[in-house]
Amino acid sequence: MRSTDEASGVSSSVADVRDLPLADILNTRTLDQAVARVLPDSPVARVAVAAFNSAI
Amino acid sequence: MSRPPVPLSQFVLKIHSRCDLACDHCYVYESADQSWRGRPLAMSDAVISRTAQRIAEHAASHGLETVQVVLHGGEPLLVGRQGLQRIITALQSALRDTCRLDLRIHTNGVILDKQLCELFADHDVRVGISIDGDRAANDRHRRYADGRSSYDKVIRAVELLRTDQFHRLYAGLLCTIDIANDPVVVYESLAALDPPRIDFLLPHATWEDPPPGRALAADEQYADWLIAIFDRWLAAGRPVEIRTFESIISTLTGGDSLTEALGLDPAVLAVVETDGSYEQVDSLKAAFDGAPVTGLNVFDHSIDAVAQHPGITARQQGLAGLCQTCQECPVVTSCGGGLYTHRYRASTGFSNPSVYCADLLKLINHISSRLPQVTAGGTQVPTHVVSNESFSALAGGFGDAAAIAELAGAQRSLRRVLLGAVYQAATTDGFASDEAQAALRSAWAALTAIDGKRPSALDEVLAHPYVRAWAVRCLGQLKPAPEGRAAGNRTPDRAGLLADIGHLGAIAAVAAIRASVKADVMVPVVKAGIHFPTLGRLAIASDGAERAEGSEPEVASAVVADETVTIRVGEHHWELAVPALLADRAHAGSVAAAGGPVGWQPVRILRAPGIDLAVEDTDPYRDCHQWPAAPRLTDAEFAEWQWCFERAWEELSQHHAAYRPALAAGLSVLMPLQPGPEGRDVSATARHAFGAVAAALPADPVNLALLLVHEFQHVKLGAVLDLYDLYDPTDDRLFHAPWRDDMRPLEGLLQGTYAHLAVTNFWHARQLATTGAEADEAGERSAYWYAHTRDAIETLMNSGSLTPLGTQFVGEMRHSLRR
Repeated sequence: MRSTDEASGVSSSVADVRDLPLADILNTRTLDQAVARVLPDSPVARVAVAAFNSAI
Repeated sequence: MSRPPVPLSQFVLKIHSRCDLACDHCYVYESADQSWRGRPLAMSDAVISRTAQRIAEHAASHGLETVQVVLHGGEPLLVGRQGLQRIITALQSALRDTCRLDLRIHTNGVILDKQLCELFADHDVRVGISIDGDRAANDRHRRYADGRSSYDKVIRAVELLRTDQFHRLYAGLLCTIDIANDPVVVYESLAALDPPRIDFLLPHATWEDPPPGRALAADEQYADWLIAIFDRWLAAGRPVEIRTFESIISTLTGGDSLTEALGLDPAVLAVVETDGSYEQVDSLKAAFDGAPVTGLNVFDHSIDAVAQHPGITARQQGLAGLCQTCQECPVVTSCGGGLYTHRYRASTGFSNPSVYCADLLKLINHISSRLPQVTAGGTQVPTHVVSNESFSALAGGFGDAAAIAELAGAQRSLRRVLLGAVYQAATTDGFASDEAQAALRSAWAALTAIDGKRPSALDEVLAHPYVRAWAVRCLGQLKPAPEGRAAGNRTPDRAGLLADIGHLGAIAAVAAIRASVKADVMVPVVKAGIHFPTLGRLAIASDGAERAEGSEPEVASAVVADETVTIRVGEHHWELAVPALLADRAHAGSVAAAGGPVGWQPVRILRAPGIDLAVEDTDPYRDCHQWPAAPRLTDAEFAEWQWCFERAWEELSQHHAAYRPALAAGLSVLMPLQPGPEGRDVSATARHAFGAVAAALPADPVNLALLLVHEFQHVKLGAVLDLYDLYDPTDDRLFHAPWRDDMRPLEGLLQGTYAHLAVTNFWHARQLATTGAEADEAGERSAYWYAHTRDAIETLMNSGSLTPLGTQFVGEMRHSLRR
């Protein structure tokens, strides 16, 4: 596995946290996004928001 | 093939059709549609009552847990306090026993006062305010009919919502973009009002009526305007949620769209006008006169009828509902063609890219390029990349050890994140007792310490396929902060959940054993045994059999020190020798028992030249496959597996060499299943157990070789899908799979086709390797699977739901099959 600073590969959006200290993973958006990626229906990942957003 | 209608769950009620401001950019009054002129001023009690009934009926018939209702206008506060009280009460009464009501009001704010806020506080109505930025920006458009500024009154309303008394009602600010305003000044002035969320809205426009200030169709002024804000916002650490940016970030990272203006999620929204007419989303007023009309109304038609209206279902087709240009666009999963209204052109209707296409492309690409900073909350973190060579090989159905290593690397990242997610959710959920929380904190402290000293030891545990299956099981039962368990209405098995999250201690214990560091953690006792993932199970019942657990989980302490693991349950304790555990030589005789009978059940290893394969028949989280797990194998049964596996591996090595390297590199666990019905060979993989294949022992080693090849295709593709969007995830249509009687979802068809690509090759290789009747039969099977796989590939290619990367992937499958 290579990281994004190397060319000629297919980039994904999954953060490479193999070298990120485990303690630093908590409370990061990396955690939220990875959970949403592999468990889109998890209540932990779910974001409750109305799609409608027209101004008046 | 169209998708069936999706139930509607969001309703915009136009409770007043007039406004006390005369904003010159308002889509309600200044756009092509002038239907407001013929509407009643306000929604009558009869319309309200009937609307509430219709929503309740729809929610009940479709089992909706929540519906969102937005009170809108015109200016909804013109209904007055008493009118609002009646409307809110009618909605709450109708829905009380059916589902949760998420009630909001969007207002210009100029007449919002304390009394109205008290009413909203009493009924939990959240308030969104329209404001276009600082005074100069706001007053560019948002004025009274006589030209007076609305700014001071809007700010007064926002300040009211910022007070402690009403802050919980503060839903956010909505800002219509005018590129004549300084973007950073607009952003800073809005952020200074401390909103929980800001919506930056592109002014409604179409190809017939281009965006304000647009000189050329390809101009990107709106992207540049938003990018200036994005960069400022990112540099400041994303201090406020900006929905456009968050939605793009979410979809770029595999999540849902957060706004109707972006993404492929199906439209689930309908509008009810003051006269009870159902309309489509009201931004369509900007397209042409009468564009939102459905011809349906609350008195004569159900909401099911609205959901089936062609104008609604057209926006529920995901990728397949977009024009060809959008379908082939690399950012389509984030953009989704933009807001439906913005695609309109008189000659081609809505089958066009957005009039903001160039802006959206530039903005999404910009955010994508900053994703590493975004995902790390400002810290540079790289993302996983699969080399072109590996991606192409995997897409062709193969992939060597290097390709598997790239996939396994991403799985390692995901498992580290999931481990953290379980700990975080378990300690904020409010479900675990203080004692259980203390145990979790001890386990986490041990894990983080080991990660700092001997990260490879932690990796060895986390690489176990069923660690992710365990994490997924936990996360499915836990709720996030700050909502917490108390606010939830799910009632999982408490003892089971506590035992599940307690498994974090078992993972920490094994990491400590493998790292040779001291640790003192609590581990759950499950069915009279204590499981140490990757090592085995300590059976603490007299006969080693599993027993049903009681209402409260039993826990044991596990102390790792001086090359010994000491386990204590009540007055009993046992000792396990670490060298014996790690050398795979541990058995009951090597365990010093003091205080009770004991049986150590080690993980056993199937061996063949070039591969060691762990037989997992004790892990409590292994039973996550389509077929039930077998109980622990007897020694005789294990010997049968060893005999069959050796010969299956020989078959693979001799005749299917293209698949052998990946299997040797990535297949780490064999999980025995109970025999299939009527002696059928059964095998399975689980999406959350990378590296594991489950199977009942087949009679013939060739069949075992075949099922290993078949199932490992699913393992590889699952890992690819963890990294990439190959298809539109919102496409819930079912497709014909030539080898099955039932219809399959798109992912199911893709998985089956990818597996049968290898099955076709397997039988072709057998045809070449054998003679006579055996070769003839293999040839027939190869031809059979070739035809089915070929047809399924064409179904996938013609689905209209493959992303550009998915089209590339399936194209490689097609090319590989033809070879």
